[in-house]
Amino acid sequence: MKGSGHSYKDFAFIIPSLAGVSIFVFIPFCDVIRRSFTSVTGNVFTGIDNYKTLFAKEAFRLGVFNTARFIAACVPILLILSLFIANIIYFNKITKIENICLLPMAVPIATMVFVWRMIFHKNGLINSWFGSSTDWIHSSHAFGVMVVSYLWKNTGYYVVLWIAGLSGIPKSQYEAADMDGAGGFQKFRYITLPGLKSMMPTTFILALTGTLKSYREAYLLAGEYPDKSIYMIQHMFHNWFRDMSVDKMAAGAVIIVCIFAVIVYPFRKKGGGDVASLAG
Amino acid sequence: MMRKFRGIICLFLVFIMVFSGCSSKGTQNGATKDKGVDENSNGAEESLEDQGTNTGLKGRYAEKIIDFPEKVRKVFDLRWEADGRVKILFENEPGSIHMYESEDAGVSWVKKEGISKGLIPEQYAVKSACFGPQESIIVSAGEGIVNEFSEPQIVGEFQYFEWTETEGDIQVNELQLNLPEPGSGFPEAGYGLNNLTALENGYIYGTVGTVLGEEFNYGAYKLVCIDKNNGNIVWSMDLSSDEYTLDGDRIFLMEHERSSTSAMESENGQAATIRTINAETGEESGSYEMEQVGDNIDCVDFDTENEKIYYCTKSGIYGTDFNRTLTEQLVDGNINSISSIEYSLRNFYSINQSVFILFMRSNTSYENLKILRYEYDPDLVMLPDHELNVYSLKENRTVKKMISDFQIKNPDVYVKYEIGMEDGSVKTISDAISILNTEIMAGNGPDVLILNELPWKSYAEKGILEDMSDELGSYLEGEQVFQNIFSAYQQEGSQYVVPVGFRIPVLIGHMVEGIESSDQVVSSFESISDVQSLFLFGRKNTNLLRYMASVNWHTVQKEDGTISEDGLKKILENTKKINDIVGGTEEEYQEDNDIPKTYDAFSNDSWLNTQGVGLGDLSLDMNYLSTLLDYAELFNYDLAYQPTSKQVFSSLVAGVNGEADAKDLGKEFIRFIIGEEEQGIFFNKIDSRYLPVNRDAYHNMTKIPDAEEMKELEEKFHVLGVEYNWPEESWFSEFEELIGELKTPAMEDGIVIDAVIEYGLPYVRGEKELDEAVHDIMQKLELYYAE
Repeated sequence: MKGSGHSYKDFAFIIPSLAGVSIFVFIPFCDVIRRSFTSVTGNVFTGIDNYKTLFAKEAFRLGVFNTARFIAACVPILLILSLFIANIIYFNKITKIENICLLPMAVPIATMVFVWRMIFHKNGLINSWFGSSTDWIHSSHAFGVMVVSYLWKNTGYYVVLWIAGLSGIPKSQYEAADMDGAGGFQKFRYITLPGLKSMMPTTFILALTGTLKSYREAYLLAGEYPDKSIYMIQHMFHNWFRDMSVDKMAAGAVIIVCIFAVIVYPFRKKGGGDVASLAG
Repeated sequence: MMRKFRGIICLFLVFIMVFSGCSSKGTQNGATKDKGVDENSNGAEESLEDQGTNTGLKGRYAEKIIDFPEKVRKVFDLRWEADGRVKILFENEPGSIHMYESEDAGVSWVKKEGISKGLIPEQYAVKSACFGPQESIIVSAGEGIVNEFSEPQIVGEFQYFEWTETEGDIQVNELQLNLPEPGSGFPEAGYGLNNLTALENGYIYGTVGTVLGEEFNYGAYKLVCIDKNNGNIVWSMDLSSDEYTLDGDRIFLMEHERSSTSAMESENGQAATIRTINAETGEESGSYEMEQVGDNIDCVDFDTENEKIYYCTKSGIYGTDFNRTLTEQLVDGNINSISSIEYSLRNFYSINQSVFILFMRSNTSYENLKILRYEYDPDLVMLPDHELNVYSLKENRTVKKMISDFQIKNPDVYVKYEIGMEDGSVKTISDAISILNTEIMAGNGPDVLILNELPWKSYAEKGILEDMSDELGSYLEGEQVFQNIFSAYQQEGSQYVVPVGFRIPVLIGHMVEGIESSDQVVSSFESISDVQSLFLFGRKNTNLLRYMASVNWHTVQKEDGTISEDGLKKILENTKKINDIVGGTEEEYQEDNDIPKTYDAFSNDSWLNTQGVGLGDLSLDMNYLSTLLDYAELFNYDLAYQPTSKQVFSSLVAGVNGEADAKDLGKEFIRFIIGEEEQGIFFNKIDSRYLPVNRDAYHNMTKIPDAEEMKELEEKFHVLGVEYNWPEESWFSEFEELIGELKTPAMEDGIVIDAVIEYGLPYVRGEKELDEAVHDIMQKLELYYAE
């Protein structure tokens, strides 16, 4: 543990990284914040007009709602399902399944979309198997297709993360619990969950950001204007860029970041990096 | 630790905020591009005249249009000497022959007296000629006529002559040349040598046709080498075309890969294989694979002595060596007349490696070749001082023509034409627009935008486009343009979007009077008894739906931006009725599922035109006809026309990028293209796809042509069996009244049209219910309009 007498050399070590992040992230985002209060050309100050316009747009409200709905549906299922699978794999020592968990992530999105189309198209495999004529992609069912697609692609990654977390829990605790006659659920509740508590915020944030990046599947699957059920915020950004509504894009980006910051804030590390403080 | 560095981090963040607030435009690329603001003058914008010149790079081929003393209709042969002497054999009228000489590498020409058709028997026409050994002239001629296409046609036997100048007199010596026997079925009359060339050793080369009608099959022609001294064939070989070139002791043949290239790709050259043949033995001595070469062998010249190949395409003149280690563009066609769409390349010659002579044929008149001469000038600046970037999403020949004309009128300006969909990496229109928007936001956007299929309403609302109200004030106030056409594109009194040419959608056929809605269009079709006679109306399925939606969209979209479900239903229903009547069950011949990258999205699109026939002084593709009335008379159609939707029209529209450095030059370009002179291209048979927005140009269009042109038109119509009449003045007056009623631009929004076609076409084809189709379209467009 370092004492309170830190030297400026510590700060100097992070300058290169900070400079890189500043140039490619902080500075551009500061420009975005600036543009959210100006016209498209960036020369005329418009105050909060862009924000007012944004909240008045039905498309924005729909995009935010759908994105929130997608996050609310995918993140809990993803975390719970992956944790469940990780437990099965870890405690039953099924290493072969662990090895193939990441394969879905390796599949290119375009290929995956192609396969989904074959399966979920109006004339696809699902309809031909079950004799139905539902248009899974261009109807409200598209939301379910997106959720399934996202879970299929990303569950394996979180399984691997959870397995890494499980590896950090001392086996002696499980042995002691066995000797005390604890059942599987009790061990999970009193040993596994507390043991994984430290990595849960990280996993949650990763899952959150991952759901926001799932726009590519929706775009490739259903185009610029998909069914309303899967019309995300990113669809709006993509279409606004085509119309050069940079001012609205900037305002939208600022709002999204603020919402994200509010959600993530409770999960920040407390105590200035003091590991001991996290145990409480 | 954080407390100690908190101050430093806060300072750092403040620095970032301040720094990001001082955003500046991206730097411009290219040393020759105009700099809109001189950074040394405290931000004051320089005028066009004050803007700096380029970096001082000099050395360029200068173009000179040769004012040849006589009309040149076809070039037989051109020879040059090392001392700059050039001589040419050509015809100025079908079957004639003349010779001119130049002492200064083609700048000035003097007629060679004595060389004329008078040296061959009466009733004979010269088919081909070339310079022979010892300054002689070899001529191939035969008893002939001039056919309806103004080409000499030999109907009798061929004879061959050698003309030699002796002490000022021309001696005529008839040659007895033995030709290969003509192929079976090939008539003996009119069988003879064409495309003559000769070597100093007395060998004469020429081509003969071997098989009638199969011009593109191998073996349709024969290249023959004949010794003129004894008339015997030295060697012969089969060819698939009658084009070849002789240079030194080698013959060059070109074979193109017949691929489905676009017109533009063909103009800029094609991949080809050039085979070399030993001229004396006829043995093949090699071949060259060329990635880009002229469209025919006459546009390629070989310098065997220096092992150089020069070729000319619409994009310029290029030079390479036989090994093709380095290909260099010697003349940039974009800043010269080479790229003019008014002309096609015919013959190309390189002289002394520093002079090029180019013969170009007008696409509207085959009577006189234009002669261009290029000579290297080391003191001429390499590129013009100023640069103007013009952008369109898809290739547009009208824009190309306007750029070419502007370039010629302003030689100190280099106009670069950028086509968004031309980039091979761009697959969709959306991608191209994204790239364009990125460039505009970065400050590297084009100066002039051709706004068709671009979100110009959005650009105008967001201040991307420059308000042209002041620049166009004189046009609008003085009524020099059709104000209603311009008013249709005004937004809150500002003219961000400028119409350049316009079209009116018409229905041609047996008319019901007073068509004002799509219901009445359907009634017209329902009243027709013989649907098969309606071959003029070529739209079915996709094209028909796109047309009907575009023309009638003003009945669907309400003022508040929402969509009328009833209006949409009506369009779909009426489209289906018409489609059923015209038998639209089969797919149209054109593949319109893929987004065409090379077709003009506006002019070639059959939305708002009917197989190229329009109103006013417009021509069909064969350039014989001048008005719809002529077309009707020619085909004995009982035809009239009606606008398919009252007050609706479509335009080629342009705007100036308000953030561009050369926006003043862009405004000048806009003023140029709507000026009376330039608007004349719309009725001089060069580009007949639009009507001029300039009133003076329109009135020029309605004037009866001069006597010479009238005679030419009368002769052409006489060949087609009809009498030609220029429309009455009353017809043009009525048409001008019709133009005055136009006020609604047709809908050209790609997103809307894609939605209508994607979900509406299955209904039109009977594969879907109407309510389902309308629901799907509404759902998609609701999102679009909600953004």
